[in-house]
Amino acid sequence: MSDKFKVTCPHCGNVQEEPMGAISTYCRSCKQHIPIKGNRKRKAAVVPQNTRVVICRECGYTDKIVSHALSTQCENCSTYLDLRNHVIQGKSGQKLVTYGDVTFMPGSTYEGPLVRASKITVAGKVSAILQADVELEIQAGARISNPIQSPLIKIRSGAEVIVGQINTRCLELASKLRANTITASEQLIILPTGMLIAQQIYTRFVEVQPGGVLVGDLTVEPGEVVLDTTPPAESSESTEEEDPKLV
Amino acid sequence: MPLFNRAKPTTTHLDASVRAEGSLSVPGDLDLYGTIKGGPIEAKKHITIHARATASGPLKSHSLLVEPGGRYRGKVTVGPVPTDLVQRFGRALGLIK
Ligand SMILES: [Zn+2]
Repeated sequence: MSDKFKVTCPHCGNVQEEPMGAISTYCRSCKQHIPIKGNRKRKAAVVPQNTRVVICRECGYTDKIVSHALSTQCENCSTYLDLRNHVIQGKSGQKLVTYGDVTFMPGSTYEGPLVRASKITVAGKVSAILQADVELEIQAGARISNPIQSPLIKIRSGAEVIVGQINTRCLELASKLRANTITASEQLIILPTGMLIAQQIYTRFVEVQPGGVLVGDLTVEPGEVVLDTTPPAESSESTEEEDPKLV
Repeated sequence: MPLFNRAKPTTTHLDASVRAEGSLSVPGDLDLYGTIKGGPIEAKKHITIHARATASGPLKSHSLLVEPGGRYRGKVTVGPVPTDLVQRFGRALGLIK
C-alpha cells in the first residue's frame, strides 16, 4: 500500500504527492499554502491492520474483523457480537459469552451456567458448561466438573477432570479424566501421563501411548462420527459419587 | 510390565485374509489386518488394528493404536491400570467377573 497520496492545489490546480499524515503543504508550482483537511482519517483508513475471522453463531456468516475490535455486528443477521477477551482471577460468576478468548487463571474459582468463547484456557476451578468454538485447553491445577465441548480439547498433565459428557473432534489427554460419554469424532490420543476412564467412548482413531491408560467401552468406526454442536445439557448423572478422585 | 529376558518379543501378524472368532493372546505385539470377533484379545505389549481390520470383544494390552479405517467395539483395558481402580471398578469395567 502506498504511504503517499495526491493533493490538488486549490490555487493553480497543480497535482503533487504528499506523505500520509501531512496536515498542510506548499504548492511546488505556485508556492502557495495548501491546507489538507481530513487527512488523519485517511491515514487511519489505510494503515494495514490485523484481522481475525469471526463466524456468527446465529447465522453462520463468516466475517473478517479488525483483531483489536471489542464488538461488531453481524453483516448478515445484524446480531451484536461481543469480541472482548476475559481473564478471570479470584472468585467470579460473571456471564461469559464472547467471541473473544476466556482465560481462568491459576487459583481462580468460577461458577456459572455456561461459558462460551473462541478459545478457553482453564488453570482454575471451573463449575460451568464450557463451550469453545476453536480450542479448549485445560492446564495443570485445573478442576472441571461440567460437560465440555470444543473441536480441539487439550488436557495437560496435572489437571483433574470429572465430567458427564465430552464432545470434540480431537482430544489430547495428558492427565486423569473420568467421564460418562466421550465423542471424539476425529481422534483420541492418550499421552504417557494420560488416564481415561469412561463408560462410552466413540472415535475414528485412537492411540494409547505406552504408559497411558484407557479403560471403558470403546467403539472405533471409520465412518463420520457426527459431532453434536448444540450446547450440552448439564448432566444429571453425577460421576463424582463413584469416584471423586482417581489415584 | 513383565520382562522378556532381553529377547525381543515377537510380533504376531494376522493378515487381511484372517477371519477368526474367539480368544487370542500373544506374548509381544499384535498387528491385526484381518478380523477377530468375540475376544478376548490380549497382547502383552502393543496392539495395532490397521485400516480395514475389524476386532470386537474385550481387549487388553500395554498400548493401543486403532488406525483410521479400522474398526473395534468392546471393553478395553489398556496400559498400567492402577490396582485400586481395578478393585473399585473391576466389576463395572468388566475386569473382574
Ligand atoms: Zn449472523
